[in-house]
Amino acid sequence: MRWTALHFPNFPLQVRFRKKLPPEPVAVASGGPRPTIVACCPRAATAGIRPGLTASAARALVHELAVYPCNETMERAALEGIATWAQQFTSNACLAPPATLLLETGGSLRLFGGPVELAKRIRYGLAALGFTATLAVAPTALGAELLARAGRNTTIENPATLQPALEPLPLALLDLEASALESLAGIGAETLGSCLRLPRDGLTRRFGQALTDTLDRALGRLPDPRLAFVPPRRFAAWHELPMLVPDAGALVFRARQMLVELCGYLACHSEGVTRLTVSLGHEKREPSRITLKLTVPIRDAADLTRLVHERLSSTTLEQPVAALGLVAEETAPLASTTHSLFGDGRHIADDRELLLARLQARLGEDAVSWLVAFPDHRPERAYRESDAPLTGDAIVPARHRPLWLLPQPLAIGTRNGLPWMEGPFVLVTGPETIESGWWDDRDIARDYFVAEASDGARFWIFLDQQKRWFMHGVFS
Amino acid sequence: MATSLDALLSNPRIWRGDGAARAALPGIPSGFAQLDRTLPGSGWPRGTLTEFLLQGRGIGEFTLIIPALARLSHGGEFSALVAPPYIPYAPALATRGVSLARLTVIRPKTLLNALWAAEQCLRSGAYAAVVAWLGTNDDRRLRRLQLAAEEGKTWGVLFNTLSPPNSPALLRLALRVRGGQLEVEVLKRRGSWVAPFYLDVKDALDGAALPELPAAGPLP
Repeated sequence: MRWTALHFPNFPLQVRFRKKLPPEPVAVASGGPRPTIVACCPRAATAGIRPGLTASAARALVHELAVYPCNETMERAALEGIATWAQQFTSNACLAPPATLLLETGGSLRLFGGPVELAKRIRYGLAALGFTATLAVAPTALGAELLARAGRNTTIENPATLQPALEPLPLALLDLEASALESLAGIGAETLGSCLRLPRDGLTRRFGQALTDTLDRALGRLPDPRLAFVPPRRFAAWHELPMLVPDAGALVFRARQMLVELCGYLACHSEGVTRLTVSLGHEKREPSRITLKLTVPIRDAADLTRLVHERLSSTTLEQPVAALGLVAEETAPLASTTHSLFGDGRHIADDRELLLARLQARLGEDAVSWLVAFPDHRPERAYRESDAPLTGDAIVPARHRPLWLLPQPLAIGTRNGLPWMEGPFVLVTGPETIESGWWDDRDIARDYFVAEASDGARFWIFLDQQKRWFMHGVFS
Repeated sequence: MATSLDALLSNPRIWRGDGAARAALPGIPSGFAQLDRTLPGSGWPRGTLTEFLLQGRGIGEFTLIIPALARLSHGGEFSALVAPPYIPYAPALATRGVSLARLTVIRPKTLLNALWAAEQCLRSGAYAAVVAWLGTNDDRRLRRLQLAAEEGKTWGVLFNTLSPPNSPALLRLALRVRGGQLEVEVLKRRGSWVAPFYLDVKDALDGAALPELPAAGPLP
């Protein structure tokens, strides 16, 4: 086994602000009647604030300190979000709440080109998500977790070197009761190493089986089964924003982080997204929704960000946005391209689909269409417009048909019984009688002519049963 | 030195007055022998704008480019129509050999969006031909399109009734009907001046004399 532990220091603060800390010193405090600080920014820390201090004492130290309440649901959701994103690296990701994630990466090394490359990918990905973490690798899950929580960015591949690496870690990392920690400190045991050097029997008798078992699990002497995180079947994320955002364009930064999360999820499912809904949460009303429909599945965070950016920047907000949501409504299988043999040579077809998705995002979905010829004798029903290209044209040979059709037949006047528009029309060919459609109450009976105007332009005109002339097309 | 001179001379923006100008990219056969003889590269030029100045609409300007669009679509290449003035009539296009699955119609609602869409399509290289009806003679905007066409190696076609005084398009043709025929005047091309000539597009106009085209190949 090879476990990679990701520990997120100051996690409550990271969840709330990601990497964009506000200028003033900030801290997050637990709930309850006597709130205590659970996380604080570096500026607050240099002023002497540290976890465990009561919020009132912290405020006494730094007057301008902004204290935010801790939101455990949000933190749990954020950790699950990272675990979902991490599914691209391993199917065995385990949560170690509140702020640690364990990935079994022994099976993924070759796929990702070795330990260094894998760690680099994880770090880049986390940065794109907006998180910073301590990365520790060890042969046991608990060992890796303890190392990461102790702030050691270290890799231990050899089981023999695990114990020496764990020995200097403070016992406070083990979730022991305060009284047990105190009595251990009383007998001079403050690190894992000093605890391990104590007689086993006596240690078990005084501090219970749980302590020796924990130490054994960390060293790999006892099995340490972990429950793998099962990602949701459908990707849905919801982020509360630290402040109200009045301008949709400013949301792109946050949206990008969520899209990176989505793409990690999609990568593990070998899928791309085809329909994506971005929800903009407001304070006192229903969220507004923006849906992006894509003709091909897409799984590239940069491409998706460009699309969402295009759409967001053309959206005007009626109310400031308090939260951002992202739901992958529909996904479709997409071949893995992350490690393609031929570099990143993309096909022109992919470029075109992306281009069309961008056009649709800005111009509206109905602005992009494909033409379809349809076997019907009635000219206005012999074509359709579809939102996707149809392969295999059903060619109905159509001679004397204009390249342009008017959306509606245009009534034209007559002189001496002949059609007239700024001059007489000369009938070149015709009549071609089209009489059809009796079955659906849209029947027509028309005589079509190719007519030439005095300036040489040719039109497709017809005479209906009431002897009225209409223009229906332009030969161009 | 020689290589840099060649590179310089093959730059499509360099004007050469020595008659038989060479095109950097092979042209798209227009389907009209007389036109092909006149056009540098023996066909419609890729990687630049071709601008048609029209005297009225419905004189055969669309028919003039249809054989090229048909040829492109049979070769598996795509074309886009940006802001067409009417409904491009699917049965007529299909009969003239244009594979409809390789023709995208884009209808932006404003001129600004139409310019943006045309520029994106030209630049991406995903379309071999981008045909736009923009109705603007703002030469700065057209210059952006020309640069986009160069970047995407795309044949950009603009139909215009207005005459921009200083158009950046490298090929400009004026079309008018005279004596029942389409008169083509080459206002600007790479190479020397050429006398106006006439094309008989009347038969091609209504599809009465259609060339036989092979069946559309499978989509890639």
